[in-house]
Amino acid sequence: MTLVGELTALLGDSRVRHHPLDLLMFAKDAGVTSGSVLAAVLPETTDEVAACVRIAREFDVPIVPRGAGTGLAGGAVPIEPGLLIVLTRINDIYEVDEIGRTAWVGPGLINLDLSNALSSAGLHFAPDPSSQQVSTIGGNVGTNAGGPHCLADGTTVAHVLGMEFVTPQGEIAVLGGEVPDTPGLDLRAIVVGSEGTLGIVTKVLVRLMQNPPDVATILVGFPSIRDAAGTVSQIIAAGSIPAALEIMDKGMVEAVERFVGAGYPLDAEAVLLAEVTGTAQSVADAAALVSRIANQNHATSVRVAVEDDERARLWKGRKAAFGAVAQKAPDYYLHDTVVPRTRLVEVMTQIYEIGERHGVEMLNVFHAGDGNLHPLVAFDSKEPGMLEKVRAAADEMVRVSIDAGGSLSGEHGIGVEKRDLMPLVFGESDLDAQARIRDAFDDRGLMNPGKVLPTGSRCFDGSGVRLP
Amino acid sequence: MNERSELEATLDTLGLADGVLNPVQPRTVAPRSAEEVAAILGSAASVGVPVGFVGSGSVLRPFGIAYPLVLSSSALGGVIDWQVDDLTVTVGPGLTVGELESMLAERNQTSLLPDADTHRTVGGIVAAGSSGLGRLRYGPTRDRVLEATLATGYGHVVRGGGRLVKNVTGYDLPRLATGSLGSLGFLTSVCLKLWPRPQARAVVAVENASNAYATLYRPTAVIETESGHFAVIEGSEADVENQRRSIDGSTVDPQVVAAAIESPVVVSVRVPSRHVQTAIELVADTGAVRWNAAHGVGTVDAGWETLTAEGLKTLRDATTRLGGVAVLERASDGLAEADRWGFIPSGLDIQRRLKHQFDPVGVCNPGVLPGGL
Repeated sequence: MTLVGELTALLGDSRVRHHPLDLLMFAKDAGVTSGSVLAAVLPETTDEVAACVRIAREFDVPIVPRGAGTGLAGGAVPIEPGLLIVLTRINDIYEVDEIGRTAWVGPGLINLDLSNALSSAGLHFAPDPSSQQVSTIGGNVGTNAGGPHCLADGTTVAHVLGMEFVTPQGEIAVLGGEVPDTPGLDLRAIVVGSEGTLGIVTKVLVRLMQNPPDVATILVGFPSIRDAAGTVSQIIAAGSIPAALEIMDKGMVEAVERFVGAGYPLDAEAVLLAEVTGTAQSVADAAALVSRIANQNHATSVRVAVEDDERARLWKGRKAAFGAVAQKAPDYYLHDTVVPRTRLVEVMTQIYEIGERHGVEMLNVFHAGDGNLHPLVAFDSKEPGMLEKVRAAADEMVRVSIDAGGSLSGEHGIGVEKRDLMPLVFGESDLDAQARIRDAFDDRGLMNPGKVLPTGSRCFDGSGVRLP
Repeated sequence: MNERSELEATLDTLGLADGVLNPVQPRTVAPRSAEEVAAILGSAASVGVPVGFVGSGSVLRPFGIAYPLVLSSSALGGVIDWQVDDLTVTVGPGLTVGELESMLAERNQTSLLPDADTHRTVGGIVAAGSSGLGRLRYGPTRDRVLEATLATGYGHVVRGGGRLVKNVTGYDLPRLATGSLGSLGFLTSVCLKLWPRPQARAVVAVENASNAYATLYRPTAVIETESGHFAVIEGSEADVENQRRSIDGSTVDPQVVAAAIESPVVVSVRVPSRHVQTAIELVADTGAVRWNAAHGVGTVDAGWETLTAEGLKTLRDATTRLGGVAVLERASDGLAEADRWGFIPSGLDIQRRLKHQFDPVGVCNPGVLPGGL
């Protein structure tokens, strides 16, 4: 039997997609890379996922797991012709423990749907990527997704306690769990952020956080990025870690205002969106601190929102940022570097200079509190040579971030887009160690090949001797 | 020439030891750099000699494994890089938590590492994956290890993560190394995420810990011991006072929740946190005289004057029924041969292959992990 024949025998016609149109649709994620899909399957149980993996293995076909396809680094794009295992149908909330504040959920569950379902229990799932209305928990696990509120609470890995997992051999294991510090190596932590290269997560045990009793969202306009970034550094130096500290530049504010009319100040060169949460007293204290430091740094406007609908409007501006770019140009190319917070201003200055030199249109929105930059280049890929020009500029932006002690990705992952930049951050022994982790899980190299690690990362044999 | 000569020659060249290694009288040496550790482990691998790792010596060693050579982190202390404004610090594994915390206190920062025993080393705490009192609010130590450098069992120095508070570049080697008990290699440096110290902190005695846990918004800890129920709260002076009043608690000496359990037998019972109350009853029923249970976390560290192998088995069977594990942290003579874990993790095959990838010959602290890895 053929690959498609065996898969169809397992799942039926409707859950095995191999029509050319389907394959075209599944060949891309939200990034710029396109891949090649042999078939896409829609399993509904862990056993079905395991059976699909075993079938692919029998045919020696690469396997790529996929959630909603909102990734920006090409992580869910098969770059070698492969089987796409789409997990969106495993999307239930199976169990909620309101006392222990955990829940078992399917990887296909949409991020925001989880927090909405828990609101009556006063709980939420903390990672809140901008894509949270469409991206899945499984995808969040795959990329170790972040979001504005990761400043105080950490990225997805801090909110995933355990998982049911299908190994590349098609076996089922439970990694981590409800017990704090399950004895043994922490395989759970390695799987989070592994972008589907180690196996497939089919159920997730998430940690839930209490909804804060009080919240204030503060919008500040500044005459320069320098003043906005200085404010961020000084807030943290004063001993306060707000729930979120986001900066947008003038270009992005203009795009957002035209798109959703969030009420951001159009006369400012930079806007800081800060959120403070906690008890009434701590929110009042922190909001006063943010306002005071902002004023000391030449704030042109300070607006404190405490009512839910006004706060929601301010956040809508931030969350709609990437969507708003569509008015400028049909495509965008986005990096996700991280720099030490204290070097934000210096790196941003260089990034603007690079954009100007290459003559590309840049907009910036970033998680300033943890130094996570998102320099975004808006462009039209139909313009000949444009993608190459954009990539060259973006590549330089990455290099200045790394030179400042930074890293390639804060929350989007490496995928295929940043794979070949890994040697900028890691030496050959370091990459070899990463390749060993992968080999320990995937004996045949069938799980999402060509992602995360550049070709030839495994450069030493078992005893540490260099491979020829 | 005997079979250990290459390792002995390496130690001799480094000026760390001379003569013949002997499993009956293990020799402890203190390498001074990551490269020295890697050279020693590479030589140990080539002759198949198991090497034990030690920080302050507070972690229970597996029974019945003789290491002719023990590597100590005592010459690898010191602060490598403290970025005060970025809230990160990179240190050698031999630095004690007492030294680290007193340095950080000067700038009103903390690593949040467990510091009841100030002599424990940062490397030992990270390798053991031990978390401090504030885990309920701030998460486990594992979530604050930003970068780790390891000298592996194949004699290479490898680094993962970065000195950045947010980073998803490559597989998460720092989190994997945390709690790995040296099974993948010897930690030669770690970068930790720091937090500002709160303006005020209070330990307050409360009527009922479960109620305090359910009522308070993100308390630092809610602890139940053999002597009472306590909430640890932080914030500004006014905020702490408001929280204290909201749960009708009275401020007590912070030592009541912070003191280490020094009994002859110590077991760390770990259960799904909704079962903490049941786990407390379990340790009390088996004769524990002291305990420190963390509500919302699921750990009950308990101490016994004596505990028999049968008593441990009873405790373990009951813990297993709750979906938990009971880990032996300190053993008196009656338990000298007991398995530390009493637990085989799911995914053991993957664990074995990972161990093999990082330590192909099995020289790095062999036997420390569950399943005999």
